[in-house]
Amino acid sequence: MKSGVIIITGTSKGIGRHLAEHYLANGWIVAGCSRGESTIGHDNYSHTSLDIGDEKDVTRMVRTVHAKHGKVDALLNNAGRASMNAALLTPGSTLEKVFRTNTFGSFYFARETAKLMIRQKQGRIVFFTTVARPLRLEGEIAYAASKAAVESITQILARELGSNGVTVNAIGPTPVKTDLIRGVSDNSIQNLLDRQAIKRIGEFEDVTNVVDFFLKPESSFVTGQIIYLGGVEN
Amino acid sequence: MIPDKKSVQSLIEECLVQLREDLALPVLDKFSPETTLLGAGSDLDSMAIVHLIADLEGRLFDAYNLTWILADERALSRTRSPFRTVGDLTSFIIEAIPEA
Repeated sequence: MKSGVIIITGTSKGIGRHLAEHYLANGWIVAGCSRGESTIGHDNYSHTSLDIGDEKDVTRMVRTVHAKHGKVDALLNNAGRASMNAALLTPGSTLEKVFRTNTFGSFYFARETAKLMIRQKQGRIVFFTTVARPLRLEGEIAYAASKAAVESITQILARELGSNGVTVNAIGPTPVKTDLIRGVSDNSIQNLLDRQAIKRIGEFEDVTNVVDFFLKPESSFVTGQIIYLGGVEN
Repeated sequence: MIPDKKSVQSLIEECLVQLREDLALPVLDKFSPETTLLGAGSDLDSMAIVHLIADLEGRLFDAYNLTWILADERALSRTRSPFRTVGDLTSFIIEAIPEA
């Protein structure tokens, strides 16, 4: 896999941290971000503490990374916020918080990196959705709805950027053992796994495998695609 | 450095020259505040304007270390687009200087 400069959001823990470590190990220069301080120490890693729902902060980070390295080859829009609540007990403020991070934040990062990528005539943008969306998972209305919007953004951006050498795709992981599912009961997780074709919890490597595929130079003809893990269908 | 009309206009000219070269469009006869960017009298399509704005935001950041987002609510809600002519765009950029 060819290396370059990659922005990864939500790198302080979980899948984001694993992705950052994976691409650092493969020779990439990684610019990460999270609400808190960096948890990664590596010469090729830089960190920005920000709220990804803040349009100006996101714009500044992307342009600073570009000014420092002269290019941005890929964006992994990983940062996310979950919320478990019955629809009728979901406050508007929860919906706003979840959309602010998952939908608005991902959009800001994609828009700003895409502005650079169309000038470079190449780039890879990968969004993160969830199997909770196609499974219409009860109790996940805010999370699944915010990711449904992410899927629309993925597919429309793919069309708008297709002629500029920029691909836009999404991966929909099954539950992976991260903080995101810390509050979910074992029973709920098992019920979810039972609805997958392959009934096991996801591993970090399952995620990096699909992301690697999207980033490969040979994947320049793959765009607007959403790949769910575990055999979940749309 | 504080952005002024002359330096901003010069950045717009750089972007326009680059864009026309990239799109294999004829070289501009003359460049002035009246040069039309958008609408009747311009040979740039909407995607070209997107490229122009994207490039210009990057050059403004490099020049002033300030983060303009030019296609904002103010720009989109105006009856006369701030992207209509070089003069309109220059004025809009000066008017919308972001806080450091």
